[in-house]
Amino acid sequence: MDNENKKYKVSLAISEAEGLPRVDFDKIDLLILGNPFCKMTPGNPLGSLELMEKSINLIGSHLDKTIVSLPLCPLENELSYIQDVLSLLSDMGVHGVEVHSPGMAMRVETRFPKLKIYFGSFANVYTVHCVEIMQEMGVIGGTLPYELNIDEIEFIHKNIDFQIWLPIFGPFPIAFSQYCFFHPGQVRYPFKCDHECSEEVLVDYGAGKKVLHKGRAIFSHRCLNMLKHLPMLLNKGFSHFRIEGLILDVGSLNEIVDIFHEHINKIIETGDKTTPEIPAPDSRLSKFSPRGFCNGFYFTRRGMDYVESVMDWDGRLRYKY
Amino acid sequence: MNKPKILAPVSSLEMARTVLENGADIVYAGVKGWSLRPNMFEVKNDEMGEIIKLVKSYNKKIFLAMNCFYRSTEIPKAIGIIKHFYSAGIDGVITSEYGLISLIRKKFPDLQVHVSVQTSASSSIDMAFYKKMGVTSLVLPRDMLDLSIDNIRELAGKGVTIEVFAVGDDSSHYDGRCMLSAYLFQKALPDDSTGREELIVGNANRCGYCYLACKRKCSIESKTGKLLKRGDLSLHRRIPELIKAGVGVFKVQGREFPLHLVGKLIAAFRGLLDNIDDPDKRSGYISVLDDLVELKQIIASNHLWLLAKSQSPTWKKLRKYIEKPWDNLTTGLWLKGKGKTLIRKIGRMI
Repeated sequence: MDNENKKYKVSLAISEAEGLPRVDFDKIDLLILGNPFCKMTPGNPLGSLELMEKSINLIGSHLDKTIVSLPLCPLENELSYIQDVLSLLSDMGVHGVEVHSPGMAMRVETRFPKLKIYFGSFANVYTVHCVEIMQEMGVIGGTLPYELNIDEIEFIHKNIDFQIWLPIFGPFPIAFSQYCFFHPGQVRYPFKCDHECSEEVLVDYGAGKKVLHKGRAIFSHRCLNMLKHLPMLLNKGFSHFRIEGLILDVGSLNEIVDIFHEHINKIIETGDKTTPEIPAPDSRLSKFSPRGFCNGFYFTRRGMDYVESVMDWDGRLRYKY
Repeated sequence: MNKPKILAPVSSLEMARTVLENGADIVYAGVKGWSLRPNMFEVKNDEMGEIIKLVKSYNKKIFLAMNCFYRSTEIPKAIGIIKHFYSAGIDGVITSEYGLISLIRKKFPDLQVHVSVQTSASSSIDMAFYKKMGVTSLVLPRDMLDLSIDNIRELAGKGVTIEVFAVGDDSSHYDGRCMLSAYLFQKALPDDSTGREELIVGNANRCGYCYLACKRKCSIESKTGKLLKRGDLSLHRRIPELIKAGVGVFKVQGREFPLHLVGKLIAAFRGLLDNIDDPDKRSGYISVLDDLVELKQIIASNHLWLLAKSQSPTWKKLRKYIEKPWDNLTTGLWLKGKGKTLIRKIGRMI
């Protein structure tokens, strides 16, 4: 794949080191490695320096397109470990890191200048002004909070020259705690951990309201799916897309990436950014999200809702709620 | 060592007078639509002006709560609001948005900037960033308040005044990083009355309403329960060690709570801080706070605060009962018996 001439880029977030051999690096432009919510999650490269080193060795010649997602809201007693992780990443030539707070961006910029910095969706970067501050600290790209609607994201995109990685598929994180809820008595991490978080748990609030818990994080119970809205996103000038694979089976990720490449290329080749022939929704994606799809907050709706774009009788594209 | 201060909530002129008379050092209030509380517990612009005058007459300080994550296009409006109340005499701004912090520092260099709990600043590296930005104080995330005292001591030595929630709602997730309400309950409503472009009901980080999903009943594999089993947050029993660790400000959260309760809470915290070195008096105030905090929890867990500003007959009836025993601060027995049953009963009626 000729990255220089590509009109768009795709990034993929995965949480477990053992999935790395199955990642097809030729199909992605950026790999975001690691589960930032709980380093104790089985297989998480952030779990130990040995595992991190092993993971980086598995990546081999693709280090220039790999970033590691650092732990979210680290406590004071975790900072020295993070320092060791950053030293290792810098020494081994990893492209960069994903940070989740401006403080961490400042730390990486001052102490590890070789590492490129990106911010994650929980870094609270809500406005153009925040992006500017991040840029001043050497941050080159990032994922804006999921709470922003598409108009806000477009406003930021148009007002500042910056890589905005727009999530287009996958269960997305909606909350994070220092507590692991499924531990008896809600024991605070990291005093005790039986790796119960290796299993996802569906929490049902009734009336169809559900969320997916995994360890200390809560994810959407449906996959965010912007496939039908790709023409709109491309039309607005977005070119960096993110597939959120943290709690998806690694084996399925290549197929998901393929489906998005196929559709994006078709839209770009035909130049038709309004009427892609996309089955609604793509049946190949349905198997990865058995509880249906959602659009998060892109359309200023409840996050679990799915908004579909439809061709109306007058040939105009409309949203169907 | 500087004497720690009490930061008190204000949702009306009457509440401002009450907390000041009971010993608050600093008060905070938000104007309609622009702070992290339902609209009815924020104040109108003209009332805010009156509150500022009142606070100044007591020679105390007032912070304007501007602690939501605004849209890029709302930032100029937010600056306009801060400018207006800066002229009126506010001493500081509580905010979460580091873009806004940067602008405040440039435009109003003598205004204190207080970092809201929404930022979830959890370590000294975040502290270093906010110090560089010129903030004066920072509140620790609720999620880390039962950490070891060493952790808090470490943070308190970094040159930014540390504040903790002395009493407040508990939250199962990091503030500012929870979209649970918005994911499950969100509605979007245009809201012309507040000047915000669109009020997103349920989008708690952005001035919407937190539906406390983590405290609601849910089911997991046919078992029913609540994820957050803990009661509301209260650190009054840990105040002596927190003072030793270097905490400079104790925040009492509760703009939405009844005036009477907030007043009594502030009075009890004032008494505790003023008598921190006297073991007998200290334990007396802690005992009073035990009762008040329990009452606050009952009101919060039954959503009774929703009635606090209404004139509904239910609230009037409840108020008649709950005000009487507070007069002599003997809420304990009443709460554990008749009062508790009554409040729970009324709570179920809402």
